[in-house]
Amino acid sequence: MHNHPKAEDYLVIASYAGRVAIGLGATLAVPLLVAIVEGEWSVLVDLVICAAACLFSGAALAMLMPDDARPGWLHGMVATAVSWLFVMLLAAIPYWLSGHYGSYIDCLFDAMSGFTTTGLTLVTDLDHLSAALNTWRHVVTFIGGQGVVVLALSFLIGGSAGNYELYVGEAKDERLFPSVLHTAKAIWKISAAYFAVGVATLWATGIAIGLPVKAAFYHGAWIYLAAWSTGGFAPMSQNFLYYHSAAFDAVGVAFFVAGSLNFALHHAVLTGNRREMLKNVETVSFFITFICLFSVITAGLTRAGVYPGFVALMRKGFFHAISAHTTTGFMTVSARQFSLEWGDLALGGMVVAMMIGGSASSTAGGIKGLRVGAIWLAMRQEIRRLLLPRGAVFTKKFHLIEDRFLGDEQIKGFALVTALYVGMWALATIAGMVAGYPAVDSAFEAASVSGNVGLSIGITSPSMPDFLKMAYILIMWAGRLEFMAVLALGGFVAAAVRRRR
Amino acid sequence: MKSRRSLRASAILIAIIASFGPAAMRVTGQEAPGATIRAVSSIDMIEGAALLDGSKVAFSGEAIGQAMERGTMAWVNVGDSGGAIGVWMGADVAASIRVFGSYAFRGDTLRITGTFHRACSEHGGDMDIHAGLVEILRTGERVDHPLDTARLAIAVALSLAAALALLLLRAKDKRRHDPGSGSRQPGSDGFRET
Repeated sequence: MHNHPKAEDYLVIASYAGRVAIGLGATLAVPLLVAIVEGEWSVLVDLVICAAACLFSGAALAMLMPDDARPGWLHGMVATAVSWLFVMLLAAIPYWLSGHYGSYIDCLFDAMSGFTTTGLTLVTDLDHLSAALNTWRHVVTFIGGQGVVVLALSFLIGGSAGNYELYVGEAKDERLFPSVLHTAKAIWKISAAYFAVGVATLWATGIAIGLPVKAAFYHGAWIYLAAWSTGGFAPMSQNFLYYHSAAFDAVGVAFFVAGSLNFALHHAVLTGNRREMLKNVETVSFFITFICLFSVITAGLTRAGVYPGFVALMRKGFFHAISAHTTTGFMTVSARQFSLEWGDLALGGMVVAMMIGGSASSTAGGIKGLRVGAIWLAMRQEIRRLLLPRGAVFTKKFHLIEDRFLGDEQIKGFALVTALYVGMWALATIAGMVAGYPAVDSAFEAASVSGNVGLSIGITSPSMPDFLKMAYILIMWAGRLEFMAVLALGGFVAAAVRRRR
Repeated sequence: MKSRRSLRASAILIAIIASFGPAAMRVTGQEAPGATIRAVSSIDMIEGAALLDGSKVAFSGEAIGQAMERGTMAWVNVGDSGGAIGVWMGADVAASIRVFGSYAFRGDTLRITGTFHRACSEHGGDMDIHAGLVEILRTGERVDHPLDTARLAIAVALSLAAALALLLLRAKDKRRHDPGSGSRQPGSDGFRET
């Protein structure tokens, strides 16, 4: 990549985006199979149009790769940011053809919400959506959780050394193996193992709570895909409230908490290093912040007298606190109940939980436990430095799979991303207020969008202004990619514009 | 048979209630003087949950999804244009609902008369209605989704174009992988220019 982009740079980026689109086209096999099994022929045609559009545009773009191209890190970063926008355009096609959306912007919103594992939706009449399209919504979420680029790296682009930048651009910088290709494949293997257990458990629970066997299977698969991806989409308009079951809630919680943990932690535990759970900076950080915020939320709900009795308080308070902190977004209340009943203290706790989010290199969004934990350690060290005699030497360390030194540059990086998240949340809050929504509601929805959570206080609806829908799409995208790839794209566009002048 | 009888009994009872005044109430959504049953929509229940908590309501909507039996009782989710709410009813009554709303069906339209709970203490704080009476106002029906031939033609044409493009890409990739061709795989050296 040169200071001023040349034609070759555009071709390399387009080519990578094309490979990712081909990967997306291949994943449409899953909803296509469901459409055939369920005899949903008109949906089948819509899905074929989408698959063919992915494969055709993807192959056409992939052919643009110059034979003597030398992709650099900026190509990888920009290609990641562009790929996410490109797959959003393509994945929205079946939504638009279904007639369940008011406009194509609404379809783009849902596609980006799915890929970023946010889970906010603008679909209308969800209770009459086809099984195949419901499957597509959840597959999109699952792909997004795994990483759109991880998908392409695993199966299409191959394990060349230059592809590490694509992987990092998607905010997954933890390598389970020295090779990025092996790491990408390991991520899929971990998810596949959980998939088998998750679908089986949710299927059995579904049958136990009274769902017919076939419906229980579909619900189990859809909920697993959303839970593991910390997505928040559900097949029915009432979201998790549809099931009216503590057992189903509990199983769902188990899988979305698992989804919010670092893939490296899963790998460590699955390969026998169980003590890592107790030492890991992210699990420790998550546990402490969750306990604190759950206490705040419980205090708020108790003060407002929202729920009658301890059991109801725990079921609603705990479920939504953990759903917020893992950035999942499953709900067992209607969106307006947050605004009308929960009170400012509980909502404040929820906003902070949504902003902190889950673990780095996981399917979760938010600032991430790693950054919160590391910044806390750095603050503690600074206080110690002030209290100890001048010249005292001590090292800053944290444990993430192995003991690591916490350097000043790393702390700066963590602080920068945290500041960007908070800044983006503030902008999203202002955008909501400009659209005419109350400040607390705007702040809640903004935290949900910035942290890729999916809980809604009622702002996200087909009737919200188009500018707010577009703003939320961009915020979900930037938040999911943790800014780096988006900033690289911004720099690339600025350089291209300067060149034209 | 038993469920039909209970349905018929429910219908007679609701007709008696209807004949004693709340007809106007159902139209306006306001409580008539002396009446104890309020006709409500899902939006009324969500927006006015605190006011309606513990009161008798009549709610009309479509049975959606599936009935979920829990012993002698069952959950049926009932939705109108503003949202859906869980209705706790006898399993035998739930079994009398023939059609549930889904992609292929418009579900039975029900009128539920029962007690509304903003946060039900019996059901973990869920917003719900404990049904006293369940009436089927309209039987559900199949919804056809005919094939659009224009879309079918687009799908076929795009599929052919996609197949051709993939073949061309494969040929190009093969050429690139061929060591004799002199060209390199993209990114194969991981070169960083910046």
